[in-house]
Amino acid sequence: MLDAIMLTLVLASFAVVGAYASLCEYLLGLDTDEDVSP
Amino acid sequence: MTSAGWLEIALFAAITGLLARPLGGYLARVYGDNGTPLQPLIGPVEDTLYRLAGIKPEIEQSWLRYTVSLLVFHAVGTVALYSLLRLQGALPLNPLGLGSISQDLALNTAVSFVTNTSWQSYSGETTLSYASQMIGITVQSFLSAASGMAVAIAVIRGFARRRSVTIGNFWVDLTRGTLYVLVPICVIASVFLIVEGVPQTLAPAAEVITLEGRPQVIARGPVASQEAIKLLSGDGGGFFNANSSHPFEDPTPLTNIVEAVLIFALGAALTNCFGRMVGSERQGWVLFSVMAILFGLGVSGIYASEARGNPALTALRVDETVSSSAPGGNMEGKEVRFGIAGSALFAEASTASSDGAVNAMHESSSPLGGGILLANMMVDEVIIGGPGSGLYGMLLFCIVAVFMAGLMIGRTPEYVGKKIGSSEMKLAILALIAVPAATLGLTAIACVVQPGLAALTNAGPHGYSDILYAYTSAAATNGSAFAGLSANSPFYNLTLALAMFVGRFFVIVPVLAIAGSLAAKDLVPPSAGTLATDRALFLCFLLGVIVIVGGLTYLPALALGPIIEHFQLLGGRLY
Repeated sequence: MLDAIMLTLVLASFAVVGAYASLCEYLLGLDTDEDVSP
Repeated sequence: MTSAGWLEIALFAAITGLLARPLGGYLARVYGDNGTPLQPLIGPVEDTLYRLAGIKPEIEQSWLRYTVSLLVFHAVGTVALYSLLRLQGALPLNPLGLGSISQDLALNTAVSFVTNTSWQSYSGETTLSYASQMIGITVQSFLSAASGMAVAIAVIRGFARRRSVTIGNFWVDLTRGTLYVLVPICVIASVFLIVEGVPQTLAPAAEVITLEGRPQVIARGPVASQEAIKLLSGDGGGFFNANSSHPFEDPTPLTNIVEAVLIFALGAALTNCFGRMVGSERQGWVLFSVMAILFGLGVSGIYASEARGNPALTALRVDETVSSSAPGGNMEGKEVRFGIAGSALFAEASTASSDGAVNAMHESSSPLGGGILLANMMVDEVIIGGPGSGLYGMLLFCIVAVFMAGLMIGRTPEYVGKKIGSSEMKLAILALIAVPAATLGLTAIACVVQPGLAALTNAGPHGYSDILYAYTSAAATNGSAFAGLSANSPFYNLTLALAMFVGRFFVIVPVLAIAGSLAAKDLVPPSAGTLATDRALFLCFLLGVIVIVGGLTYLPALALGPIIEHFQLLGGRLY
């Protein structure tokens, strides 16, 4: 039982990192930089 | 301090510096389009692996696909290592008949080695079977290092490419890093270690009769093969609990220097590889110089602090000076065969990189010496760092540095021909904040809950340093320990696993996103207003940014631990 919980924890953690990658992709999409160099 | 000690440190620095360029050139060929001299030998193996795994090496991936491939690979690796550790009692290559390890320890160990940390809450020789050591620990040491290098190479491609939607193929980078870099160097290093006296055997522990006529069991096993990758990979997980202070892991002063060089070799070479791949080796040398300066300051501080000895013992008129028959200084927790200099050098190399191997007990360092070890890890392991992680950590600081410089003069920041936008900056901050958040947050929790305090074996600021060191080491994927903490408990096994996980993957993901974003941009030719990032001015600026952003984040935490302990020691109070 505890093994199943641990393995679920592992997979859930990687799923969270996957969601974090989506957040990073979203941040990239927000890029509205303008070149301020003279 | 002695001239011989300084000579030893200088010899190490010289060998590392001399290796950086040829090894960096080799890495550039391995990950570039040029073949390597090992291609005829290893190429067929590589092609076979691609065929068996259904990988098409010519098809490249976007940053998101690269990231997903990396995460899937490590998720499978974590589950596989966890299962192996839980089932080792029923598997072959277990001459001591060791049983499976507990669930929380198995989870901690699996995450530890998959994240290239190698935090060990167990004694290897009495806990893990040969199968677990060879198939589990050693394999993950190779793969986690190759994965780190792959991420660094992907970031380099981000800087080097123009208008590209891809940053390489994770499976190809992983395979080439393992086959062309890690395996050949480890074979050579293993043979060298065997010649120097490190065991490599599948025979069970030896039972001998000592000179006193009493029986003694001497643990041994396939040590040399694990030792080589332990050092080269920036992993640091020893076969024995005593790690490189065990004579079977690091038997002589010669192996001590070679092992320290192995720890730094790939991290140093990757700076040169970066320079070559972005078309200017000077860019790589600037990064290498920043690392070298921080290393020089660290090792000098530790050496001076340890050679000074313990003021409390000096007050008792204990002779701590160097003589022909005594190494002098603070020798508590240090091996006589390495002395103060050899121990300081190894400790600096171990904590400045992400390796975490030890040849002396860091717990027994002077408060200032221990504080420097902590500070090394707190600057995100960018002083050479681990294979890959050191370079991409340093490039994060470069992005912050050019951004700050851009703010000062009102120009859009650029680095090696790429304009740094707000999205790259946000992602860099996300990556840089992950490690301190995990370190300081979990340290704070452990300091106030009963399971956290119950593991302490020291009181006062030293006990606090034990907790801070554990989470700093875990989140920085270092793996060394202060050893004053009984960390094999469900609380520490799970929270340290969380720190390692955050410290590795919550940094890698935004780093790869930055790589993807930069690769899609065009290269900007340098103009009169471009900040020259291959000059001494930028070198100094980058140094300042690392010290201010990286170091000052932790100053209050350091003040509560090693700094206050130092002043209390001067007042005669010990912990």
